[in-house]
Amino acid sequence: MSSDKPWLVVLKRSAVILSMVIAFFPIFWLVSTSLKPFDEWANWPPIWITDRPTLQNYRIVFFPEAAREFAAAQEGSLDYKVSGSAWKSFQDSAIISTLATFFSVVFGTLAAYSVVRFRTGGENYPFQFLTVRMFPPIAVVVPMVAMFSVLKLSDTYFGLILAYTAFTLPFSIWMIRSFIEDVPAELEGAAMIHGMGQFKAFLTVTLPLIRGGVLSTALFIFILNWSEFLFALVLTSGDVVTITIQVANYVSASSGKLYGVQAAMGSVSTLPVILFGYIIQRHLVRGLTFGAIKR
Amino acid sequence: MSARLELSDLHKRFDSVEAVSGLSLALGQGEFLSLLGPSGCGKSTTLAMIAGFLQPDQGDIAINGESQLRVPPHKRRIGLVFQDYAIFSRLSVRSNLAFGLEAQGVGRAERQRKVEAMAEQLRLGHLLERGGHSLNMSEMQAVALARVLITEPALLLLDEPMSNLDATDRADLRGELKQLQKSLDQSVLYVTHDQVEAMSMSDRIAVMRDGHIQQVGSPEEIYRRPVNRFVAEFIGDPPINIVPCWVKTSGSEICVNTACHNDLYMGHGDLSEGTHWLAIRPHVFKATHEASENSVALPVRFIENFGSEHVLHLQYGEDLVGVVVPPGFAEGRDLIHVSLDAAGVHLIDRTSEAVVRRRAVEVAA
Repeated sequence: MSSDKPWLVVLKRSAVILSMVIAFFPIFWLVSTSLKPFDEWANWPPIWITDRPTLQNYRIVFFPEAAREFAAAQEGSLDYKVSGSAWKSFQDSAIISTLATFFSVVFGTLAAYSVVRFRTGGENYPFQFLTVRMFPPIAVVVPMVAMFSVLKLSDTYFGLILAYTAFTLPFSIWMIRSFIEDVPAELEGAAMIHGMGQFKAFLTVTLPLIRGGVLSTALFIFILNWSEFLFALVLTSGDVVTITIQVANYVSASSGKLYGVQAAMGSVSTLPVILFGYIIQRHLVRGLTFGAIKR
Repeated sequence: MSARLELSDLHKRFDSVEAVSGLSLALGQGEFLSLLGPSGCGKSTTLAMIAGFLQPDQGDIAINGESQLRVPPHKRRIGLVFQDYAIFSRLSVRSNLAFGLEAQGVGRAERQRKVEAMAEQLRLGHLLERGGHSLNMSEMQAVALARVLITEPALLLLDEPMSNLDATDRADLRGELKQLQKSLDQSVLYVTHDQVEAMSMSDRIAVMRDGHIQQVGSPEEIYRRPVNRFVAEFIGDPPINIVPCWVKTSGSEICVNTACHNDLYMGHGDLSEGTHWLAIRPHVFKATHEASENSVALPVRFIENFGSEHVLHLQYGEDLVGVVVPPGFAEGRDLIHVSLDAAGVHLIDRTSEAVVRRRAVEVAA
């Protein structure tokens, strides 16, 4: 670093600042919009930071009477779902995303273990698995709707959990596989030689070593599930409402998209992801620097 | 209680490679047997099958006469020291040692007692509270050995346990390991590619190549009577000399000429005339300063100094041969007179590479 020429340092720092601005601008705009009053949402020229900050958008999200009040004041009618509160969508998303992440990571870990240690399915199997995920979801969504309705899975928690688990499993297997590969088979062998069954050896020796990797995989899968829109849209019809659907529902016949309300909901829904990431931060770093495990 | 091991007709194939092919071998109770061969010869695969990590495609593995094929690794009562030791780095040395006992459900007090006893026996007491991650290679090796011996395995498998150690540690350990094995009357299968380790510790050696056992015998036998060119070349340090030779037969009597020595009578046998190989240990050549009746003068190319002995590398026809001499023997000399007695040389068939004739096996040391 010290040997770098001053202009190079300036260039490097500018590049970092530029990419930070690009990365953080959407978040800034989201939060900024969420605090704007109704008439400033779509103003031109844009209002970067409002002079009249308000929590009204957040009230509309969380309190049905505020939403009704707002609808009346705007002389338009809100969609019926919007007039309900967003609490239920947070609850639904939490249940579905958490359970689907849990199943995806548990099955993914077991499958990855089998692929690594027993060469299950042969050399290319994990890649074949991943190619399943190369289908654009939109291509499989129509048959899935048909299947789900026959199986009575439409508009149920179980249905979405199943769909999410199935669609994130390839990622789980692919990611966790690489972490398991870094654990010398000899370590498990040593545990087995010393009197442990293979599964117990996996649980006591290998699993603690790949914990960081499994947790970073879980975070990744959770973000996918939490922000999933397409399946949630076509596989539900009102009983189950995820946050992404709820955001899309903030539309009024008279005013079009309710940007401020959507922004408020968006801001709140990023919090769990940030919180989860923060909690497992220590493991994330370990997960990323995993190759340094001492043999 | 130490065990017998019988391997019969083991086969293991990986895709197109036959890693182990028709391997049969018996290890007696309390015996130290080395499986010796270059890397990739199938010895580690064999070990993995005995330990139960790999299932053989064919054949049987029996301990004390009982087939182990359907017995999972943790029930085979086998101890295994891995090449990289597989120390649990997150655990203390004490917990590493207690690991097997704990997995077997041995009570806390008993575990404690056994760990202390084993630590004393292998002089590891000072390491007990250290973390597994903080050990150096030779400490890891010792801990791995202690961790396995503490479970009193019926059969101890060692997979190249010294390949990570430096030379002095190795020499120390060879002696200690042999003593320990004798005092415990422990059956040991020792896998190595290092012939010095195999020669110095084993009761018997099985030399392996390309999935096949080439020869099984005592170190003495393997050294003095190798069955083929591979075994002859693999065993012995400094290595055996292999030179081309020309065979004449009269009746069934075989007479051999080399590039420098003529009329070596190898006794009677059935061998085609023509070019074959002659294998000559570096100790078998007799080097002198003065010419004698059947000596030839050979130019000195270079000298390797091993302290107690020197190895002269002499031009022998188109080849170089090594000849062992006392230190200082070749000082300031360009030519050394060398004679060769047919006793102690091995005649190797050029096509089969098998040793077909050897004369008297006693070799001047």
